[in-house]
Amino acid sequence: MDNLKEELKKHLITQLNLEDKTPADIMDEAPLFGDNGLGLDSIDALELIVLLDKHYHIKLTNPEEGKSVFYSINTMAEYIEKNKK
Amino acid sequence: MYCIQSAATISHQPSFASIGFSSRLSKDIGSLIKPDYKDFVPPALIRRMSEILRMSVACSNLVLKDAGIKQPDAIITGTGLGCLYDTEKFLNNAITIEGGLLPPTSFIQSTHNTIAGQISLVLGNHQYNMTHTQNSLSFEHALLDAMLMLDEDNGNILIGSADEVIDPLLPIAAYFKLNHFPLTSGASFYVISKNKNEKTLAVIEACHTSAFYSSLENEIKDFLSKTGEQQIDFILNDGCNKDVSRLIEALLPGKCIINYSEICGLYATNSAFALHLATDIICNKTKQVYDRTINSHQRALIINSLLPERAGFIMIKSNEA
Amino acid sequence: MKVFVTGIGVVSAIGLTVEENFRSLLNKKSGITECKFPDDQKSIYTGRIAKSNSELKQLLSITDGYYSRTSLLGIIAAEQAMGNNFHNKKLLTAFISSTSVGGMDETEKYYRQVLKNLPVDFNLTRTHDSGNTSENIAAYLKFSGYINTLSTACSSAANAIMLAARMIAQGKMDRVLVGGTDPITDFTIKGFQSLMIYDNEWCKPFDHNRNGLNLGEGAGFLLLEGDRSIKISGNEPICSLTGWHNAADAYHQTASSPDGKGATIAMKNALNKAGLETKEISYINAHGTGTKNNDLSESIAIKNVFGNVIPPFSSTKAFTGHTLAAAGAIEAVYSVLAIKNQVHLSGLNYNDPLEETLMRPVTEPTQAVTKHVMSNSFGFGGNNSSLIFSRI
Repeated sequence: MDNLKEELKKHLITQLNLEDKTPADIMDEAPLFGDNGLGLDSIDALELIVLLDKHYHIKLTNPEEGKSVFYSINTMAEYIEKNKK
Repeated sequence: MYCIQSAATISHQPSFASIGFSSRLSKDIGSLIKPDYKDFVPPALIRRMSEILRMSVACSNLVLKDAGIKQPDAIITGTGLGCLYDTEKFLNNAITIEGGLLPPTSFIQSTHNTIAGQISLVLGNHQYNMTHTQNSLSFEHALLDAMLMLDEDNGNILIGSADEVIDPLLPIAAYFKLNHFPLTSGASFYVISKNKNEKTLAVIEACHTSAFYSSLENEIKDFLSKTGEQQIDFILNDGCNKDVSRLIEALLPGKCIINYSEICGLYATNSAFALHLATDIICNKTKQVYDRTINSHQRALIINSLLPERAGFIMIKSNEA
Repeated sequence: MKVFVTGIGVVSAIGLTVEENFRSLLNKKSGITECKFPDDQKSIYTGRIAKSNSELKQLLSITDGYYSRTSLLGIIAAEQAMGNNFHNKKLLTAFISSTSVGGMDETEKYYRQVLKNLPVDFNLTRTHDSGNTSENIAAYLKFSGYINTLSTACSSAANAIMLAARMIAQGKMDRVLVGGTDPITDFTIKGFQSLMIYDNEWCKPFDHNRNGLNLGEGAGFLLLEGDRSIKISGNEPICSLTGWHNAADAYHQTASSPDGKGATIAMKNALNKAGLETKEISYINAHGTGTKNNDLSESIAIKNVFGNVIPPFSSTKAFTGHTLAAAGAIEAVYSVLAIKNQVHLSGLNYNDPLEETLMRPVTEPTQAVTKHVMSNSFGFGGNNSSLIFSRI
């Protein structure tokens, strides 16, 4: 699980061009969206859907579903564990 | 009277935030000389921005600051080929990724109005927001729109243009023999207003475009007769066509002619660089540009005939004239 | 100076002429069909024009040269709008077109060759830039002088019409042939799919269960003339263009703001420009793409402007598909037709109102007094425009 989280953070940085961030800057439980966390927005949410598809072959077709899945690195990792094929 | 209140250019010359750059031009066109974008572009937005967006937002922030304006009354841009980096990225993905989902960001940022849109987003500006894209005349058309707007209402207008070069453009340019000058990127932005004051750098007298004309000679003569017979001190010409250069020499004998593509390289809106260069020469009374000597600094003509059968003219004069 | 509409032209999935388009609108005959496009994998709903590029060229007697589909569609609509008008040295005439992707249809062919290491036809790239799209239309119709292109995504043509009107109103031009054109491309289909706003079924503008847009292709053009031009041409005005405004939403790169700020400003100022009160608008041809976000934001903006007395409104995009840059011009032509024929046009596929606003669009074409029609066009980058056409 920790490996998965670490890997996720790296993918996140590449997919979202978070040029000045390192995996250590992203807390497992911190919210990814909104001003209190990483400050991601709805375009990033779509990029995260692509990320899930590209790296984990998980298709999330309803962007609304993303809100809970993409809450934090923890929730993303849990979702991937559960749905991984 | 359309007063240039401030000007900013990012190019392959040391032009950004550099008053008097016309006397410090490099003989060779190197790579793009960029500022530290973090000083000019909000950090939350910068990560997604391609070069054309970074250049444009940085230039617009600087010109607004220099003109002492928080919110312009319109944002008007010109771009010949638009946001090429993102366009190519999405096109490449669309062709090569089969069946999978495509990352949307490059699609979103592929539209030509991403430049003006991003500027409005950064400023929280709700005014007129326009994008002209008429290949080599995109800047002139944006400028004409800005002048029209100043004729309708007073105000301060943010107007500028940008184009970026990407590698896939090189074989195309080579095929069409567009190799007189290196292909480059550049952005130039201005605040223009009707009110002449102590900030006014120079004054745009007139701008005109014409396509599919029967004779360039007549187009130039028409423009000159409409703008009056006063002395023209120097001419900025794109310099891509020897026949045009000879025509200008014949029509306006003995004038100092500067080929601007030789200085900033080739991109669809490089006449916007020429306007800043002319402004800088006039303001700073620059005597020498490359091997050309400029003795008088009152009035200049910019001739853009980068593409055959398409011409743009801008007449600019000193704020003292 | 007043601005008159004296010529109109349109080509879309519901017809190759103005008459065909109008008949389809009255008969509620949509041009959106399910077809295997672009990769033959999944079926997709699009509003395509059932003529190949070579058929279009034949129609126009074009035998050589490189033309994007964008230009070909543009020529058809522009030629109709120009009608029997001739070039006249006494009249300052401009040509303004608009497009969102220019010759992307041809660029796709070129780039496939490049990426697959096939022999490359560089000439395909000649038509890539938006300016070329317009120049090819202008050259076909023998225009010279002021030739320009605007590109502000889905509001492009509305902005082109606005620029033309401003130039005439200021006396800079006597008349302007103005419009917009866009083809269906892989690029745009996949683009809207990547944003997850492409409906896999037939789009349902202003319906509670709407699920995105369908793309369409086409072109629309209008001939606008000032007083001086009318005197010389002797043309009979169909209606006038009385209001226009463009405003930035400044909220998000693609989405419209929840309070519809930019759209509200555009509509309010267009009304001010026309000197009209809200109750004087007879019908609104809405942008109504069918995406969750646009239709809600636009409905809220309409409520902001019109309060509780909302004029009859509809979106014609379930007929034509969303034709991107061309939409503003095609729908301007439909707005002119609404005035000319005194009819409120209907939408399609509407069942239940949005629960947030409970606004019900026109569902049957209705004969009614139509004095002033508002036409909305909103684009990426928060680019919002509103035009008002008025009966003479």
